[in-house]
Amino acid sequence: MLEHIEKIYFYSKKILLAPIAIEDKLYALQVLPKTFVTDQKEIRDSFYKYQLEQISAELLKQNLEVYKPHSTDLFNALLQIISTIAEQEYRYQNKNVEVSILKEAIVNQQLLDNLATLLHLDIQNEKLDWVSIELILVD
Amino acid sequence: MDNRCRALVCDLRATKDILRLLESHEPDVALNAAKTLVNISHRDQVKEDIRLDNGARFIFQPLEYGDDEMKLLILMILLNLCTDENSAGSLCQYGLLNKLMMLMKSTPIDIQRLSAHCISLILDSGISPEYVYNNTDMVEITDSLDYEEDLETAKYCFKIVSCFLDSTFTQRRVNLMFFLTLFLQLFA
Repeated sequence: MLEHIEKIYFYSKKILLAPIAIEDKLYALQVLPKTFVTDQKEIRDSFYKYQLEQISAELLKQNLEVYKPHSTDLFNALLQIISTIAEQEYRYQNKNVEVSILKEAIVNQQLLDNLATLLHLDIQNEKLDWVSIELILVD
Repeated sequence: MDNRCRALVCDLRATKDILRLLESHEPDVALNAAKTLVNISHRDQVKEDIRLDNGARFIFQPLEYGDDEMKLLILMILLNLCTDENSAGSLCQYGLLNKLMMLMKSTPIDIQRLSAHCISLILDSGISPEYVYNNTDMVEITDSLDYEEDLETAKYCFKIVSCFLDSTFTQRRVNLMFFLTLFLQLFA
């Protein structure tokens, strides 16, 4: 499977940047969080190499106003990518995740605030509340 | 519709006879038999008849030797059959996944698209993703992720890959590969 993940990332990037409807990108978006099936550095490096976190964040930025949070697969998929990245960072570093990872992924302060509100995150303390994230994603 | 097919379709138990017409040497008869099956293969009784009568044998033959129109009709029949775990399981036992992988290499894009759709339905039907993974070619599936070739095919292939990644067997496989690589690096 490892050798295929690079190709999955390559075509995911291509479809996420394609001039097509966001709904048509959903399948690619939903695959991405699942590629982190292990804590392997190669997979994580490859994910970052294709700038998939930035592309996902950009899609989130473009579509947050259009798609109502909690009610679309799109929003959940994007959110899951970002939270998966952060969660993997958490596992990898074996310490509490800093919001800087999300800041890096989301790039826009307003979006970060929106996301934090949606996830009931306490960004004042610069820590993520994973229980809240899981509850939101399950919901 | 061919008169023989029209007469047979009145009786659901005639599935066996319609299946045999797929083998007809007269192309029109075989084509009409396939069209008839497209229309009735969603019925539970027909699915059961096909399963009990080893229908896979009759259905798979045109997939190999039929023309493109015939292959498309057979794939439409398979789309109806693969929604059910028993039918899909029975067809897989006769090598359906292998046939679908062959068709994914075909040139008409319609055939590739329906083949990919069929595999995604097999996974939805409840067949083990590990079984499907072991009987399909991941290289072919990941090659079909290119939306510029065909967006619909790419979407089905993303869905298939997603099912594989959902499964715990994939995690085991990746971890095993990781430790093997590490082991080889250590002793290189």
